[in-house]
Amino acid sequence: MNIDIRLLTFLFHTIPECMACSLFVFAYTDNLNHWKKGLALGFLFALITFLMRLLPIIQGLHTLLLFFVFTFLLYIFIDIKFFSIVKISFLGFLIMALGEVISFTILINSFDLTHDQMVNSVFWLIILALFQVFLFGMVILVIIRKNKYFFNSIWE
Amino acid sequence: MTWKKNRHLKLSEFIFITQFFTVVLIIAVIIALLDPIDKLLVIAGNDITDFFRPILLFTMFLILFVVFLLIEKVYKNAKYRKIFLMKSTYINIFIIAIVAVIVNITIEQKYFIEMFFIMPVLTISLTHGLKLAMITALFFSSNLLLKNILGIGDYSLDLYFVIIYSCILFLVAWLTGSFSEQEKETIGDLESKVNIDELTGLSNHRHFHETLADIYNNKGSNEVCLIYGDLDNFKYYNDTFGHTKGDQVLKKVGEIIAEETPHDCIAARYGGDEFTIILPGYSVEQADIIGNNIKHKLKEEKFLGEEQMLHGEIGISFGISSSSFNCINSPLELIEIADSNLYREKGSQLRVSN
Repeated sequence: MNIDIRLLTFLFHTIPECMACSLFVFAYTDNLNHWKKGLALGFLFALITFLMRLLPIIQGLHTLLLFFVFTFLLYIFIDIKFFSIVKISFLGFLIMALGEVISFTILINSFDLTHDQMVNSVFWLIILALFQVFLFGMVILVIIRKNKYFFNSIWE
Repeated sequence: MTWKKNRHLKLSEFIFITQFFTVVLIIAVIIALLDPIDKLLVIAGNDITDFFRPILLFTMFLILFVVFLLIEKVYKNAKYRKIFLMKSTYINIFIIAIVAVIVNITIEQKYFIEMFFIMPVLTISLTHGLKLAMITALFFSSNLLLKNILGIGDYSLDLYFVIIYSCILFLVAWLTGSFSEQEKETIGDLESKVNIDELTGLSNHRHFHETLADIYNNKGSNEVCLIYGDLDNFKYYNDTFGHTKGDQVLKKVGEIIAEETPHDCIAARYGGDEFTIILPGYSVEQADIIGNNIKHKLKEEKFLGEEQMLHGEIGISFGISSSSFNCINSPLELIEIADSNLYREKGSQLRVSN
């Protein structure tokens, strides 16, 4: 992937996706009133993701490392128990992965695409990001509506 | 001590999770080295290739999540947590060994897994301080350098990479290790300022109550004794010779009590001229012997001008209570009974002298 595509991907795929994930965590921890902080965290995480993807490390480890980075960033940004932070970032990444499974299944079947075609095209990556943002938005909406039940029954 | 316990718990959680991440990364590298994905794809056929990656990602996080929940459940059990904290050194050595083995058997530079060296350095610096962190960094740096000199693998590691990476390792070790030691030192200073009575060098009132509650609540079937002492004629001494001389008496009494108190017990200045000794695992008879020793030693000690005192020389009276007494159900009752026994003894002394 050349650098132009990488930059476009960073702007229209990574940043919205990371910001949505970060806002989800803020909503889950009942910190949505600090949404600006959430967006800043999302941007920082997107930047680290962009840089991390450039590292020539073993295939498949990027995502794991990003998960750890995200956990430590949350630890810095949100003042809750470390164990809860790990669980919440697990949940964020699970939703992201689930979003990818659903969107890949729909798009591959509907438009007769291959995995490589999708991940190398900026257009499809933007579509993927939109889907992720939509999914996170839905989850945030549910959390806002049923905050008490979600937050208290599962984690606390 | 709540703040100290909280800090300890937070730090141990941080170390535990860092170690968990390290182990997960090690497992991930082993899986990547074995390369089972291609083998699976061959078995399953190429039809699923497009769906395989996202599903694999999702499954991986799901499994990790479940494993983490299970580990958390085990860790939150006080018994297992204690074992984990006690064996922290062995866990660190195990992680260092595994990381060293993995990095050394992965002979191709493209994997870039030398970055794993930073995790043990980080945990060691947090748990064991600067010196051991530096030794760990030195171990890993020399490992990289040896790899470079011997030229292990398809091609040797870039020397610049080895130098820069070694510098990073030392920097991390130095920064986190120094910070951790500095924090330990500051906490030690604060602790002594918060818990120690400046005049006598014994524990202060606050620390006494906290320790007694802690010992009493965790005593199990063991007996806990409490000696409650009060200086005789100290008020008159103070009034006659002034508070500076009175302070010298208190200081000397503190020294005597500290000398006579066994190492596993806690002596404290309760307030004014009142002293207490917590004796975990001691019987009333043993407590009585300790009290009498202090009395005798104090009797031998001559304070300036005490022979001129009309009310008699400075002495000490003790009251003893034990958790084995039927009427005692709380640390507060332990103090109350010892206190009432002390005044009974004081009363009997007064009757004798009258």
